[in-house]
Amino acid sequence: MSGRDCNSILVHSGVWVLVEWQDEEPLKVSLELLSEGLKIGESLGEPVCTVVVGYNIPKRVYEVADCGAETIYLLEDPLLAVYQPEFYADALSSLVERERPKLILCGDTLLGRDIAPRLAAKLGTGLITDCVDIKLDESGVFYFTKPIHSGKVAATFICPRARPQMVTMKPGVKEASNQSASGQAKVVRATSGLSNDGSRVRVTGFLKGDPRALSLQEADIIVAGGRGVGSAQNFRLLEELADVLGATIAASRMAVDAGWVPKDKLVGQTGKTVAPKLYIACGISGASQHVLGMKDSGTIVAINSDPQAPIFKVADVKIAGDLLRVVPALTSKLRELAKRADVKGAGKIAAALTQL
Amino acid sequence: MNIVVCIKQVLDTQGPINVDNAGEIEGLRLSSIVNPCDLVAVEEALQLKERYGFEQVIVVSMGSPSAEEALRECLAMGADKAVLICDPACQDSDSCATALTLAKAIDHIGADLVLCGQKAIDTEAGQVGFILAQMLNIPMVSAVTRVGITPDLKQAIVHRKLEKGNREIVEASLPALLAVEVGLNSPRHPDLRRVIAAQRAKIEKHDCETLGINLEEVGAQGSKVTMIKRSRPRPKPKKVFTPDSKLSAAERMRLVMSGGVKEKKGDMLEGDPEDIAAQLVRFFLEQKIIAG
Repeated sequence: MSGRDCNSILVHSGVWVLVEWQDEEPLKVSLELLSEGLKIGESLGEPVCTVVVGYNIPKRVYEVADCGAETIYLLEDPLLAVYQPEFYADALSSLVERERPKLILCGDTLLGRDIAPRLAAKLGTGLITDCVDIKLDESGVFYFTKPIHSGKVAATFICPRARPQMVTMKPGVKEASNQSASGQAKVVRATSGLSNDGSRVRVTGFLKGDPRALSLQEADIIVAGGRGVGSAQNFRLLEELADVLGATIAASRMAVDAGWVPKDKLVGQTGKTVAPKLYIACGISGASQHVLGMKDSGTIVAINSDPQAPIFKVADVKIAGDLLRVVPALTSKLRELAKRADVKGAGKIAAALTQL
Repeated sequence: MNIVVCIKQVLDTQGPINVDNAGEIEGLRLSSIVNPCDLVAVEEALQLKERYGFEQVIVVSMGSPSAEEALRECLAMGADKAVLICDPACQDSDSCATALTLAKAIDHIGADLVLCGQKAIDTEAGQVGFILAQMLNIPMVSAVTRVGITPDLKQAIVHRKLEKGNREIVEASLPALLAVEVGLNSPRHPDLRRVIAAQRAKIEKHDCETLGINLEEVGAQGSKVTMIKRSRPRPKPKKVFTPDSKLSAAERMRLVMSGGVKEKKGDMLEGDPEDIAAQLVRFFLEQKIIAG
C-alpha cells in the first residue's frame, strides 16, 4: 500500500501558493491567497513562492507573483495544457518533494478541490479544506479553522508532524492586496518529468452546460417573470428570450404560486438570492420581497406596463410597455444578430451595431 | 466483479441545530443518517449492477456499533453484503486514518469498482476518496455526475462536474474509485419487507486485528490532522446601510425599511416594441453582456 510519510520537519521551509489561471488571467482567489501567503511568510520569516501549472503560460499570469514572491515555479508541459488529474498530481508532487515547502495554499475551486486532496494523498501529508482562517503562534504552529456541519460549527485543526501542511481556501475569504511589482522574483522553469503513457485517468471531452438546467446562483443572465406575464403559455415567450440569450428562467412569488414555473425558480426573500450579470424582470411589480433577492444584479432591465411600478426604482433600464410585445421583439432582434454573427466573422460587432 | 461502496453514518445536521458556545452540538434530538452522497453512491452501485451485470454490491463502513443501522439501510436498498469495521482504536481518525482502515478492508474484500460520496456533511473534508484511491493504487475521478461502464467492464466513462453546469468527460481504467455528488440519482426507498429482512441480515464485522491494521496508523495516533477546538462560527459582519443624514426622517426610515436599495435614476425607454428592442440590443452590446 502506497502512502508516504513526510516527517522531516527541519528541512521544510517556505509558503507556496498555487496560482490558477483561466483566459490568460490569474484567478482572483489566487491573488487573495498570494496576499495571505505573503502575510504568513512575513510572520514566519520565510520565503513565499508561487507555482503555476500549464502550457504556454502567459507572462501576465505569473507577473502577479512578482509582487513579493521570491520564486515563481513554472511547471510547463504540453501534457499539462488542460487539467489532467494524474499529470498535475505527478508534476506537483515531484516539485514539492524536491523543494520541501512548509505550507501550501490552494484555492478551494473545482480544480483545487481535486488537485489538493490528490496531492496531499500522494505526499502522504495533511490537508485542511475550506479553511477560513490561519493563525500562527510563537512556536511556529499553524492553527487552521474551517466550518463543519454545514457551516454551523467552526473547528480548529493542527497538522503537527506531516509536511508540507496543505490548505484550500474559498474565493472571497481573504482579501487581495494591491502590491506593485518588485521585479525581484526568480522565475524557475521546473521540469515536469511526465511521460504520456503514465495516466490511468484521461479527460477526453467537454459538454457545455444547458443554461436551462443551471442553478439560479450559477447563472450569468436571468430572465424572470411575474404576475404581468399572465399565463403559463405567455411564459414561453420568456423562455424563448432565455434560449437566445443563453439565460436561465426565474420568477417572482406570483408566477410560482400561479403554477407557471416550478418552485425552485423563485427569486426573493423566501426563494433564492441571485446576482447575475443581467437580470431582466418582466411583468414583475418589484415588491421589496422580490427585490431583496435580486438587487445586487449587475444590470437590471425592467419591463412593466405600469410606469409607477416599484421595480423601476431599481432598474438600470426602464421600459413601460407591454412585455407581450417587447419580449418577442427583443427575441427576434437577438436572433437576427446571432444569424448575422454566424455569417460575418471578424468585425461582426461593428456591423451589427450599425445595422440596428 | 464486485462494486464496493464506502458509507459513513453521520448526524443529520442539515436542518436547524443547537450549538453551544463550545461548539458542541445538541446531538440528542438529531437522527443518524447515511451521509447523503454515500446513499447516492449506493443507489448508483445498485443501478450499475443491474445495468452491467456486476456480481455483488458490498457496502463498507468504519464506525461505532451504531453504524450497523446505516449498513442495514443499504442492505434494505438491495446491497448484497455489508461489512463494518468497528474498533475503539479507530476513534478520532482523520481522513488519512479513515482511508487506511477502509483500504485494508477493501483489500480484504476485493473490488473492481469503488464508489463513495464526495464529502461527508459533518467533517466536510472531502478527502477520503482521494486518499483511499492512492492507498489502493487505483485511478480516481471526483465530482462524478454520471457513470457509464464499457461493455468489457474494463473502463469507466464518467461525467465530471465543472462550473456553470458544464461537464467534462473522463475515462478511467478499472479497478477505479469514483466519488459521487448528490444529484447524480435519487436513492430508492426500500419497501417494508426489505427493511425487515435487512434487520435480520448478517453483517461481517472486523476490527484492526482481523484486518491486520497497525494501531499506530489509525485513530488519533495515525491522524495527520487533529481537531483541537470547536466553537460557534464567527458571524460575518454585514454591511449595515446607513441613510444620508441630510434626508428627512421619513425618507431615512423609508430607505432603511426598503433594505437599503438605492434608487436608480434614468429615463424610461420609449417607442414602439421594435424600437425598444433595438435600443436594448444596442445597450447589451455596449455593456458587453452579449457578443456581436
